[in-house]
Amino acid sequence: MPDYPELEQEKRLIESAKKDPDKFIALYDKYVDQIYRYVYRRTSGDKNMTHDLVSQTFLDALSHIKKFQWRGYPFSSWLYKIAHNNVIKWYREVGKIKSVPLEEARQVSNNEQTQKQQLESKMAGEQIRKILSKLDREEREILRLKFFEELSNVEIADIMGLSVSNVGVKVFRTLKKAKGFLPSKKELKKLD
Amino acid sequence: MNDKHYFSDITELFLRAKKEEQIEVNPQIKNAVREMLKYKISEIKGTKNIAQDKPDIFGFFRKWRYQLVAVPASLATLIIVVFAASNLRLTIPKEDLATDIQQADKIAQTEIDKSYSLIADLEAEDEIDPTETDRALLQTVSKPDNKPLSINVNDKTTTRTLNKIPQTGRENYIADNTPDVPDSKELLSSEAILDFDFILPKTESAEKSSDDVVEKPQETLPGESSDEPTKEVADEPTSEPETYIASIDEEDTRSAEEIVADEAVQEEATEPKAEFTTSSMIAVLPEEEQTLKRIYTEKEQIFVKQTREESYPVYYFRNSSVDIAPKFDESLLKNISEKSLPSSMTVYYTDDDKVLVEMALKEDSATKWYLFEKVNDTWTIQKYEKEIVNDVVK
Repeated sequence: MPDYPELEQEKRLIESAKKDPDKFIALYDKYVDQIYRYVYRRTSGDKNMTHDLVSQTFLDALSHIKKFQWRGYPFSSWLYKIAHNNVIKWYREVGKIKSVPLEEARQVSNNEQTQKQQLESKMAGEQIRKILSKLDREEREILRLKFFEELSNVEIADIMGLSVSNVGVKVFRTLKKAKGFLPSKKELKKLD
Repeated sequence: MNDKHYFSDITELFLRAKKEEQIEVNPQIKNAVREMLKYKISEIKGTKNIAQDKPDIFGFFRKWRYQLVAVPASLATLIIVVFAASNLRLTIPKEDLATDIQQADKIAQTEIDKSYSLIADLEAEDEIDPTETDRALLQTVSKPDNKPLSINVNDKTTTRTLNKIPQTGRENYIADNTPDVPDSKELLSSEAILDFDFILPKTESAEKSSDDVVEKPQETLPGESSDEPTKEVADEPTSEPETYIASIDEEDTRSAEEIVADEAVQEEATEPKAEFTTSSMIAVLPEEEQTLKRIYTEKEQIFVKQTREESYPVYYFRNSSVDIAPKFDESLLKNISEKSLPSSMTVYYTDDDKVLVEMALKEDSATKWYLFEKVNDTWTIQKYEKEIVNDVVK
């Protein structure tokens, strides 16, 4: 969660955006990368759909920013919530759910990474893909928001419409469940 | 082992996967979305400026739009409910008037424009009262409007002028001289006059009369005594039937001879009576028009004061001739029944001393006809047990 001065600054920016829509561009510039990646993962790397959903997310935010009520959470939480709803709507309309976007989202382009690091990352991504495929939808969404978007339980609770304590319990149970899908040490040794 | 340590492997795996996940944000998409947002912002600001420039002439309507719709709608609903409630209170049960309405419709559909003539069948009646008038069945074939009615009985011509009904004491009746039926009348509002029973002045040849039955000597059968009289229906023809024929209007499809023949054939086919004779009567209608006054009424208009207990009248006629009232008005109608008023009534003929009335009875499917006649300044009533079937008195 951002620190307090940053939240105060964001609050003032939001208030000014309510009065002057031009200020909303600053909020867009601040959070577009986060929302883009989130949507990109959720749409399994569908660029066209990501473009549409990101546009729709920020359009919705611009249209309803006057109704936004500051509750001490970062503005990104509200944007994630809008994006989350838009993605769900998109899944309902398209009728397909690709639960594992990591494989298609992989864009290894860092030339500085060593081959070993690339291999490790690739193996890690493959393992995560397998684990996520064994979880249900809500569990996957919680782990994504928790580890990929690095959101706090409060923000996750706000986005998913759950209580904070319920999110904590679900995170704990999901991690415990995911841990059970990890290969044991013996299996890892065999792989080595 | 704490949770952090316990989940360290899975969390590290996620972090490694995220590090591996290098999602490069497409700058073209970012710029496209940014331009789109700017355009949208300018659109919002432009709309806002336009809205600020224009005087808010619709502000009142915008603020009070719900009230402007809801209040008139509520008032309209209230008016409809009150109107419906008031109408429901005056609605007559359909079954009460079904017979009347059907009968009125039949009459209205058939003989509205026809002229008027009568075929009278004079019957000998053997009622005890010597002053009782003879009764004749006058079957309306057609009607010449506003012409005096002349009836020829045994070479004796009686001319009757159908005068306007005096309104005194009958405020609830609607006198109508016009042949049109009020459109809004649901009840007996037909002006068409088809058939009615009519009581002619008493003639010397038929002093004995009765309302429903006559006594006559029964035909002697082998081995039986001929002195014992039996009762028969008065309408049965006598042994030598003479047919009284009213003049036939030009519009009538049948000629007078045909009607005479029809009547004669019908009467000859029945069993003849022994004692009474029936004379033929021709109602001669003059050239000039005869004003025929009719009164049609509606139940709720006549019997507004009728109580609920009296809504289903049962008629008990004490006599075929009953002294009831000094004048023809509602009290007369009240007296014809021992229990209640009739459900509806239509007056088809009126004179100074005669009123022919068709009354609908709740219990009876057929319409009953009654003649009120003023004899010695006293109104009397006689009932005809006739049924109107297919616009013909039987």
